[in-house]
Amino acid sequence: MNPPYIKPRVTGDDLPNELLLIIFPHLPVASLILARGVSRRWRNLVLQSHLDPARRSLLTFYYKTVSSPAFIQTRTHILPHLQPFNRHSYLNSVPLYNSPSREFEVWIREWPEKATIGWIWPGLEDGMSSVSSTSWRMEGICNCLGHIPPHIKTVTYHKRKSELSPVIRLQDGGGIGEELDIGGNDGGAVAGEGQGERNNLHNPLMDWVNAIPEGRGAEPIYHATTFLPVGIELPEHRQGQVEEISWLDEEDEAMMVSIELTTICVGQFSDGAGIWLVLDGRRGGERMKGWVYRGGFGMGRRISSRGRG
Amino acid sequence: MVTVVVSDGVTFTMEQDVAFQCGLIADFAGGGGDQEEPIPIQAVNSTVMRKVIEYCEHHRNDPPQPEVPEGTPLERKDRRGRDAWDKQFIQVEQELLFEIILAANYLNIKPLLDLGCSQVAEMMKGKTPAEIQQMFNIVNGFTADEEAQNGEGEEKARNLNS
Repeated sequence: MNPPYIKPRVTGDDLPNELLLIIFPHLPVASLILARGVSRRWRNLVLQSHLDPARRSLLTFYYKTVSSPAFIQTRTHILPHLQPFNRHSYLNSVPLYNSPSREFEVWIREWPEKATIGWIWPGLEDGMSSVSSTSWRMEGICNCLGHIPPHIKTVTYHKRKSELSPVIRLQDGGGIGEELDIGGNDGGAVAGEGQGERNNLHNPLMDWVNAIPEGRGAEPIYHATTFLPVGIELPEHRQGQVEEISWLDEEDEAMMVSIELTTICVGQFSDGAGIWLVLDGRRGGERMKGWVYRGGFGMGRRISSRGRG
Repeated sequence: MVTVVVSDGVTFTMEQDVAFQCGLIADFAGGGGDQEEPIPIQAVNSTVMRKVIEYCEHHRNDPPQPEVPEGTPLERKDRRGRDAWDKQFIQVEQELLFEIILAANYLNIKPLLDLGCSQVAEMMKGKTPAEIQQMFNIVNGFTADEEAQNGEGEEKARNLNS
C-alpha cells in the first residue's frame, strides 16, 4: 500500500513488548481505543499494560458499550447534538467538595465524545425535545452535566405506598431547584406529555425514577456530595427498573430520611442487558452504596408494541 | 572517571555521578573506584550515547526519584517528572527517539525511559490507527477478519456521523 521506502534503522516494530507496555499507560482512553487498532501485537498488549485502573475500567466499559445495539441506534440522535466543550475547565468547575471520583475525572477528560452514553454528557444540552425512530424514543432528556458547573442533583426520598420513592430535583444556583415531574408507574405526570402515552413511551432517564415529589418547594434534605466511578460492573439485579438497596428498607415509618446522595455514575449490569446509574449515599457519616436505576445503553428505551403498531 | 566504548568504537569518559545514572554502568563498575578498562556498550551507538550523556549530565544533581507504584495516574507523574528542559531535549527525530528509548532501557535509566515513552505516547495522541502505522512504520499483521473488527468503536461512531 505504501510506496517503497528504505527501511529506517529503527521502526515502531522494533519497540519490544516491554517498552510498549511502558508507553501505553501514558495514553488517554480515546488513544488507547485507537492504539488497539494499530496492529495485532498492540491490540494484545494494550490491555496487558499497567493502565491506570480508572482507564482500564473505562476502556473495558467502552467495548461493552459499543457492542450494544442500543448504542449504535442512538448515535444518530446524539451525534448531531454534540457540542465541543473544554474538558479541562469543565472539570475545574466541579466544586471541590463534590470531589469527583478518579473515574469520573477520566471519563470527562478522556471518553470519546461520539461514544456518549445516552444524554448524559457535558457536550449536550440539558433538556431536548423528543426524538424517535421506529424503535427508540428519547424525550425531555435530563442532562445534569450539560452545565458549567454541572447541576448536581439533589435527591429526596419519600416514603410512599410502603415503598421509598426517589425524587429528582435539579439544583439551580443557590435557590431551590426546579422540580422535575417524573413519570412513574404510580400515576405521576410527565410535563407536557399526555397521560396515555406515558406508560408506553418512557423518557429514558426519568423512566428510572418512579416517583413524584411531594410537597413541591420543600427543602431538599439530601445533598449530592461526590461523583462516583464510571464504568464499573454491577451484579445483576431484579428485573425492575429501580433497585432498592437494603439500607433504604430499614427506613421504617419515616416519611423522609436524611441521606446525602451522589448523582452521576454510569456502568453496566453484569448480564450485559443495560446500564445503570447509581446514587451513592451517606447517612450519619456512614457511607452507603445507593440506588440503582436501570436503562438501556443509549439511555433510550425500547418502545413497547404500541409504539410500532 | 568512568570510560565506556560504544558500538561504533567511540569512547566516552564521564564523571562517576553522571555515568552511574545508568543502572547498567553502575552495576558493571560495582561502585568501586576508577575503571581501568572502558566498559563496552555494544547496543548503543555514539550518536545516541551523546544524547544519553547530555541527559545524565543535566540531571546529575537531581534528588533520587521515589518509587512510583504501578498504576499511578500518569499525568500526575508527568507533571513532576517533565520539566521544560526535558521537553526540549526529547524533541528529536522519531528514529533517534526510538533509539534513545531502547538505549535507556538497555542502560537502565528509568527517568529517561519514561520521558521517551511519554513522548511516543504524545506523538500518538489524536491519531488514527492508520496514521500511527504510517508514522511508526508498523505492519499491522491483522487478518482480514480482524481488520473488519477494527471498525468497532471510534471508527464505527465516526461513520455513523457521516
